[in-house]
Order: sequence, then structure tokens, then C-alpha cells
Amino acid sequence: MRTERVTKEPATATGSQSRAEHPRSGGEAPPSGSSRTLRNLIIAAFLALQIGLPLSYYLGDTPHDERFAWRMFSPVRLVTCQVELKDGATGQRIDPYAEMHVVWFNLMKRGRLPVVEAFAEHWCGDQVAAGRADPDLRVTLSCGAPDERALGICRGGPRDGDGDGVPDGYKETLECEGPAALCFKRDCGEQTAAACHAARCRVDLLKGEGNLCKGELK
Amino acid sequence: MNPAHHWNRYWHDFAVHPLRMAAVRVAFFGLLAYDLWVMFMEHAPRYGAGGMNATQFAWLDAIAPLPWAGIVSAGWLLGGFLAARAALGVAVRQSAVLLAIIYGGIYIWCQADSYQHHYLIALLLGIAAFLPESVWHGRWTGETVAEGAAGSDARHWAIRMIYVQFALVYFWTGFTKLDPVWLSGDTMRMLTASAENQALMARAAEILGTSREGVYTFAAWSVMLGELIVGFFFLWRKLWPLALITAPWFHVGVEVIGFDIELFSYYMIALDLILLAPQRVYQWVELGGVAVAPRLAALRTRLAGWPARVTQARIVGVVCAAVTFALAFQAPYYGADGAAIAAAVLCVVATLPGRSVVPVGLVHVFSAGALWAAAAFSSAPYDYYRLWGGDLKRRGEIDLAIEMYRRANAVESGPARLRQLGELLEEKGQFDEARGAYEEAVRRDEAALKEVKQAVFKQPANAEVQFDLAERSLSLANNCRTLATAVRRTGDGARADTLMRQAASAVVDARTALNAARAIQPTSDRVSDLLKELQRAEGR
Repeated sequence: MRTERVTKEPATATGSQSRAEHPRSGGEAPPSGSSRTLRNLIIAAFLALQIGLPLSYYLGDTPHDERFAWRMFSPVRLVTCQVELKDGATGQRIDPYAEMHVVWFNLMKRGRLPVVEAFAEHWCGDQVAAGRADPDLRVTLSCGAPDERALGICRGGPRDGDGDGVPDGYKETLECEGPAALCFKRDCGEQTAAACHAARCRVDLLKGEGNLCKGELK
Repeated sequence: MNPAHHWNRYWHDFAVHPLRMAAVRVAFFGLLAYDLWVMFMEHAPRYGAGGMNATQFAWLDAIAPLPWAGIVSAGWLLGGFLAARAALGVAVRQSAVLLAIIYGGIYIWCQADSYQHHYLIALLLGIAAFLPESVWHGRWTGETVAEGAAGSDARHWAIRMIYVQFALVYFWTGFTKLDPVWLSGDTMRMLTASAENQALMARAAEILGTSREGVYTFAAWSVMLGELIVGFFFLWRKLWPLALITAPWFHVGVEVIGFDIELFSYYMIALDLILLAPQRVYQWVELGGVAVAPRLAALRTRLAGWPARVTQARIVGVVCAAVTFALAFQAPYYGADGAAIAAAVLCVVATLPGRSVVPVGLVHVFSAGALWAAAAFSSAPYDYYRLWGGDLKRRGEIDLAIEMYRRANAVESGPARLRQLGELLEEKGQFDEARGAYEEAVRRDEAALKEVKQAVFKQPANAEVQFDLAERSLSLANNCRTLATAVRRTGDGARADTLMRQAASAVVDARTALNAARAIQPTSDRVSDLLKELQRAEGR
């Protein structure tokens, strides 16, 4: 049996750190030139990422995908999308809850296109495995415009309950300080309320015009 | 001074009181352990459900394998174990590195949990992985020089990075709110649409002598400006006191309003307070501990050297590893076996050098015990199987759904998913077993109802228990009706009639309880759902 004795060494709770590792006790040894350069590169990369990723959201064209942009409680979070999944070959609607976990469908309802693509890959793969040579998946994904809450035409819809020629939503429009009719004209020009609503308040991320099994994201 | 000098001073000479980092360690890793074991586990069955997945990055979709509940469960159980031992001060660096890989890896692997706070935790773990072990362990020397000037202060560029990360989060969150919709107060109004919040806002408007709309607009502007400014406060030490009196309130407000964002507010409040507290707080704690610390250090030194022989020390280490395995293995989840093996291996690795075997081994045993306790004393295992069963049922995987509901009903002794199990068994033509499930559902509801009635008797003015009574009575009514149908099928009409009368009586009880609850708390968020369910029950 070995009889070597263990040296008593208090140090830290792990008992595995030597003083040489942190001569300034609470920190680390002063870095050498190359080591400091590496650390500076890591810091610079981190800053670039944390400034660049949110900035790419504002400069990009995917307003409904707010990941990595630190947009907590943004108005876009309150926007909902309508999703319809259809088997293009038969024209039958696909029950999303029977096909995927509810969390995926909820993400689709937030306009998350990568999730739609992932579903397409999954569903189309299943169809091919089931013996269908040329599966056809059509998806319509229509979301509220990111600024929908600011526009009277979107807030209240095209409905004109009191018949004054101005949609009801303009009674409580946020950005309208003048007469409601002027604000309606500013937002919609000469369009009818219905046409304006269709044009300004909904964003069709997918119109169901392409076969997603063939990667046609349209 | 040239910019390089400023840069180096800002990043590389940044130091804080060591107890500040020790407090971050305890709070952050402690919360994370709880988060992973209690809040996260029920989400594991989402991962790879139905053979579908979407990673965080398109390029990864092509190469990443499909996740599955077992591996994700094992990852989170082990992650919680690592966080617990880090909070207790053992192998913090190693734990942070492994946690960054596990937590960050699962986050990137699947978008199923892709809230901003999951991203923030992943980033903070990534930063923590750079910090050396020595930064995390505090100091008890009684030094009272200015923070950052002491030779023994915790000094590292990654500590500065934590502050900068917080600054960026607050800044971008405020920047988001430079939006006419937000500034109008509309988003706040929508987010606080519940009756309880409306009442709160009305009261605030009354106190401030303005309209409810005015309160929303004022709050929206305040939050936007506050978040933008607080971001800058985090960047300079002299401005921390201003951040301290501002930043935590955003998160307190979120909790008061009742947004369901899991533990995010708690992480932020704890870290805000710890990172921004005046240095004298830590100096007081240090001075207070100076008298006790040498005695603890002496005890630790004695324990560190026991047992003196390497062989004996290793035996102690192996015994601790075995107990660690046995405790973690008891957690009633898929993947618990893998997590238990990994935890035992980590215990062996930590105790292998033969020093501090007893304290280090005990921390591993304690962490495994906490893992087990989190499963035993929370509803996490029940939710894990209940939600898994529900998903499988929706997707038509009946056999697996039955298995998951059975597991859910086994880990929960109160009302559970027995009616749902019975319905699936009926679908499979197993009528006797289905009836057994319905009988058990009624029995458990009756037992639970008895307890709730006792609570109501003790606290008749407590609206919540009255709501509980209404809810439980409605559940009993539903279960009695379902059982009555099953019993009638067997030809026992008399028993079926008795059950229907019991159902009718339970509905009356539910109405009485709901009326009582509404009289006490008319604006409760629970009213509308219960009222709808009650009206449905009364209409049957």
C-alpha cells in the first residue's frame, strides 16, 4: 500500500490553484504581448458581435425575427401572424398541431421564417419517405406590419361604423394630431379603406405561391 | 495618453472587490441551477419532438443532428449540477466552461427556447468561462483601499465584459423603444391588459392626478429614457450608483405587472444589485468576516489534509462519487442516468488530486442531493411528462402518450392527467383500464377538494383559495361525468346516476366559490377563464 502523505494546502475551495497562476491574488498574471493581443481580439470580436447583430436587425429586412437584437417588449412582439399550411397536391389543409410541436407553430405565428423552412424539410421528407414522389407544400404566412399599431387604418381595420368616411381606428390614432380625415389621407392617399388596409397593415411573408418542398420560399 | 493606453486601462486594469465576484457566483449560478432543474426541464420534450428541429443558424441546420428529450434533459440536469457546485465554490472555472458548452450548445441547437434572456444567459456563461478560478473566491483580509486599487482585487478583462454586456443589453432595449408606438404608451397598455393591471394603472392615475392614458405615456417614456441612460451608467464605475437606483426598478416593474418571463427579472435584479452595489458594502462584509475567516480557513486546512493517505483520500472521493451518482440517478427524467454518471465522474476528477477531498466531495454530494430535491419537491417532473403526453396525443402517437401520462400520474399524487389517460385508453379499446383511471381521477379530486375546503374554512377571505375551490370543484364535476359515462356503459345505471348528482353538486359548489372569490377580488385574472368553464359546466 502506498503511504505517501498529502501536503496540506489551503488555497481555494478546489485546492487546485497555485499562487503562481494568479500572482495578483484576485486576478491573473499580467499578460504577455501576444496574449494581450489575443485578448484584445476577443474583446473586439465580442463588441463587434454585440453591436453588429442588433444593428443588422435594423438594417435588415426581417422585422419579425427579433432574435439577437435585444428588443425586449417591442411593439413587433405583439404582432401576430396568420399561418396556413396546405398540401399543394391535394389542396387539403394540414393540421399544424398534428404535425409539429405547438412551440414551432407558435414561432411560425411570430413570423419566424427559418421555422417554416425547417417544417418544410421535415414534412416533405416524411412525404417522400411515405412514397410520394413529388410532395408539394404551400404556406401562407401573413403578419401584421411592424408599425401597425401606429396607423389608424390598422388599429381599427377598414370599418367605418359612424359613416363619416374615416375608418374608426383614426378616433384613437397615436400619430394623428390633426383632423382624423387628414391622417387617413396621409396614410392611405386616394385608396379605399379596404385597399389601404390590405396594403399597409399586412405583410405577406409567404403567399403560398411556391412549393416549399422545392425550396420556393414565396 | 494614447487610445491604446485608455483601452488597456479600461479592459485589462479593471478590477472589483473579490467579494463582488463571489456574490455574483453564488447568485448567478445558484439561480441557474434552480432555473435548469425547475423551470427548464418541462421544455425538454419539445426538443426533436415529431422529428423536427430548427437551429439558431441556417448553416447549422444542415449538419446538426436531431435533438431528443433524453439528451437535452441530461444536459440540463448536469448543467444544474455544475451550476450548483460552482455556486458553492468548487471548480468554478471548469463548471463555467462546461456550462457554457452545455447551455450555449442546447440554445444554438434548437430555437424552441429562444427568448432574449436565454441568449443573455448563454452569453454570460461564455464570458464567465474566461474568468480564472481565483476571481470567484472572495477575500477576507480587511483591505480598505479603493476598489480596483487593491492588489488582491479580482482583476480581469472578462469582468469588465460583464458590465459592458449589461450596458449593451439595456442600451439596445431602450433603443428598441424609440418607436412611436411604444412612446404612445400603446404597447404598455396592451402588455398590461389584464383586469388586475388595469386596476393598478387606474390607481396610479388617481395618485398622479392624470388619466390612465397619461400614466401609460409617462411610463413608456420613462422606461425608454431610463434604459438608454442606464446602459451608459454601467460603463463607468463612478456612475454605478445612478444605475443602482434605476436599473432594478425595470425588472421589479415587470414582476409587479406579472409578465411571464420565467426567472429573467430575478437574474437581472440580483446581478444589478451585486454588480452596482457601493464598494463599502463589500468592505463591510469583508471586515465582518475577518474575525471568522481565519477560523474557517483553519478548519478548511484541517479538512484539506484529511484523510492524510492518498489511498484513503481516493476511497473517500469514490464513495462521494457513488453517493452523487445514486442521488442524481433518482431524478425521474429521461437522461438522468447519463447526468448521474457524468456528475459522478466530475466528483472523481475533482477529488482525484487527493486534497480537500471531504469538502469537495461533500459539495458534489450536496449538489446531487439538490438535483434530486428539485425534482422531488417541485412539479417539474409532472409538467415534464404531462406536456410530453399532451404533445404526443396531439400528434397521434397514442401509445407513447399513454406512457407519458402514466409517468405523469405516477410522479404526482394529487389531481393529474388521469382523465386524459382514460380517454386514450378508451381509444385503444382498453375500457376497464380507462375506467380505473377515471375512478382514480375522481378519488384524487375528492381528496384535493377536502384539502381546499379546509383551507377555505381557515381563510374564508382569501380569494385565491376560493378560486382554487371553484377550479377543483369543476374538475371533480368533469371527472364525475366522464366516470358516469364509463360506468353506465357497464350497465351500472344506479352508480352512474349517483355520479351525475355528485357532478351537479360540484358545479353548484364551484358557482358558490367563484361568487365568493369575485366578491373579494373582482379584478383577478382567474375570473374570466373560470367563469367560462363554469358556464359550460352549468349548460351541460
